[in-house]
Amino acid sequence: MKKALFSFVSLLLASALLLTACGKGKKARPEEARRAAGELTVGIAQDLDESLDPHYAVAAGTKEIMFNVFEGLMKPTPSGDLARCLASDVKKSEDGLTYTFTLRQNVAFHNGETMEAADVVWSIDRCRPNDGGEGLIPALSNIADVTGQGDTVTVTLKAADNDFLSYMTLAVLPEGYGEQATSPVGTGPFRFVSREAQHEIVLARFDDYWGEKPALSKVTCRVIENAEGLLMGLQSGALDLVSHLGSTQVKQLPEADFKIEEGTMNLVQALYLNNAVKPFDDIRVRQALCYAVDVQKLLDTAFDGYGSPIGSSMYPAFAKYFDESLTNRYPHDPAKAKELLAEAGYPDGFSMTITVPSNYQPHVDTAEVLADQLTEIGVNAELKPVEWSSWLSDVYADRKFESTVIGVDASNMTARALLERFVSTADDNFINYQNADYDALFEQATAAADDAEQTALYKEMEKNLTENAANVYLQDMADLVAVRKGVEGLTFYPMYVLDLSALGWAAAE
Amino acid sequence: MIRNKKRVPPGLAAGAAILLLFLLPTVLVPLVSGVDPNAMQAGAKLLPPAAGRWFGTDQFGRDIFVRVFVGAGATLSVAAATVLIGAFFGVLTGAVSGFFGGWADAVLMRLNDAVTAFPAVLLALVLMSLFSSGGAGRLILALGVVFIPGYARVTRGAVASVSARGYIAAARSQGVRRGRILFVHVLPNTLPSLLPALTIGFNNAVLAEAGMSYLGVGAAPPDASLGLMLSEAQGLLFSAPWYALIVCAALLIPVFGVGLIGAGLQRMGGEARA
Repeated sequence: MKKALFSFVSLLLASALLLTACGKGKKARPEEARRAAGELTVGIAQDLDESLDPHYAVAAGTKEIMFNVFEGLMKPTPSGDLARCLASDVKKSEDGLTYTFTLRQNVAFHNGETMEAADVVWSIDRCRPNDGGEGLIPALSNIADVTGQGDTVTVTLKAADNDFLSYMTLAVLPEGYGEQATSPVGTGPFRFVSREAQHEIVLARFDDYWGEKPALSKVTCRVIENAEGLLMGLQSGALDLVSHLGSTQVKQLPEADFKIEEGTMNLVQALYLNNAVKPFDDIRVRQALCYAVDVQKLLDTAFDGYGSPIGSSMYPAFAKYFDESLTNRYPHDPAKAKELLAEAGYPDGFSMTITVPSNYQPHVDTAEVLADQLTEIGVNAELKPVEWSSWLSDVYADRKFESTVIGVDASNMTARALLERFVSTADDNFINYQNADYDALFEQATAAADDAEQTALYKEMEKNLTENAANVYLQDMADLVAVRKGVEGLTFYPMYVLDLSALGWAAAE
Repeated sequence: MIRNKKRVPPGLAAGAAILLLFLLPTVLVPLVSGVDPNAMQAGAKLLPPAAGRWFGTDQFGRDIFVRVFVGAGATLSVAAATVLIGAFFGVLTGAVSGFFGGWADAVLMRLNDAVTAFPAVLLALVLMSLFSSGGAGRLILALGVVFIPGYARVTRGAVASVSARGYIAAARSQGVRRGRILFVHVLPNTLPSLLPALTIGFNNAVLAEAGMSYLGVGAAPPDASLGLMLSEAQGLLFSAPWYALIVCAALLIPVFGVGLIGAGLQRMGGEARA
């Protein structure tokens, strides 16, 4: 007994000593050391894909980081346009069928080799569905031929396609290099250093980069899978930057140490309605729901006021295609909503279910607030949380649902990526939208000869979706990024990327 | 030392008092508060406890005081219904197999073992996914099935031990029908061992309901349920620590009360037998 007491007391003493030691050691803060060395540690919520090969990467989170390692002939810009990257010049033939790229000189791969036309041809061939290729990008089936000679690469198309250049953002890789999955090599401003699964991935500045060299010498991306862990990492000094935080989370960070930057998630968040099932097959019911929902109040209630309201399947960052006037097509008007419901034969409202993916809290929260708002017009909405895999199979693939709250993104930087899915025959038309006008507009848009005409047609399509109340459009959710004070240069893109080359520490005061 | 066999152990009385004190507001608050537990208020989010909103508000500005008791009511009634289903079928199976023995015992108990072989949470999840809809009923059914084997085993043991007693043999020798012996002479005498098992089962059911809702497969938002509220509170641990504490307390208090009752019953049963 005495012995036990003794060991207990000594344990207490030892832990007390340890605590004071920690307190004293606090002087050398880890973030100060990183600042001096020009290094940065980023917290990410999920590990990257098992394969880092850019042509095979699936997860948005992988592309988000590896954007800094790989480059294509073209590169997306923060404004949503395409800029020349590994191609110093692009020429399009009169008939729109032939593109001639002039390659930038003296571009080095991270493994020391120099980029040549053969590498570009090999990379494109690898992605397109032809004999030798693996068909990773189905849209590239439009390519008839790719040839390279000296410093030019010529691509011939089967049919003119205004969106073709956006596919040329595909990563250019050294021909025949076989270890992209584990030790990726590209031409980007950062090179891959090391990776430890479920723990971290390390990138370093590429000193032979052809363009402006990044300010940061090393970036460590640490995988911390829960939001509380990310917050604690920021506060303890282990992390400098974390993207995709929620509004209640950023409120917990001390304002003295962190800036909160607000971008957009580039998602079309809506209450998606299955247009083929009753009562949503009636346009008046769909419009009634639009009038019943108060988007601003939704943002205030569930998102602390963050988020940008939208009125159609297009988000504001796509400035070229976004039509702001559609946002206020259905102002909050419960009286009008009730009137429409009565006309449609539901004077006392009805009951509906909202299927939500239970692992995406923002969507669950949104649905919860919507259900509350809909009670005002007598509609009794019941939430049905499902696993992500059942959401994908039941709702998205089998279309067995009444309504669902989800965010739809664009797979590439084209308006088509957002709008094509609502064409009657589209495979991914999960809301069963059937509208002959819409289909005709889409056909005209794809065939349009010039860009201005095409843009106008895409906007017509957006208007069609709004006027027919295809869905109850809500918002493009805010992408809140917590950045340590002193870190500058955070740039938002209309796609899911974190541009590390623009980031750097401000000169110390 | 001679003890009065009728005396109620102090633990049992304390447990009953705790449970009663908790049940009272659980029943009354939703009735008399006049506050809609699901009404959201954008301007009153995550407010700390104060007069008028004694437990503060949650991330949608809903009143936690009302929601905790509405949620506790939902959790406790699901637990009670679960125990009822589990106990009914469990006692029936256990009684038949303990009393008749032989092939009925062998078949029923192997079935029982088969169900026990699956981890409880996993089994409940599978059962939940079998029924596509049904809300709380689905949860009760799934958890009820999971709880059957436990009761069956306890009952079987108790029935077997009571059946071996002299007065049962006496009843048999007088030609009393076997069904009558089982229900009139055997089962009532197994209560001392069954009652504590019921209370333990009830507590397990409370935690199971909260656990399932916490995992997102039990109650569906916006309905209040302690498990659901706990999973919400977890993300707000730094900005609204009272939320998690209050929900945990609401979960622990009835469990503690029922636990004391169970322990008291066990002591009484033990004394009665001695």
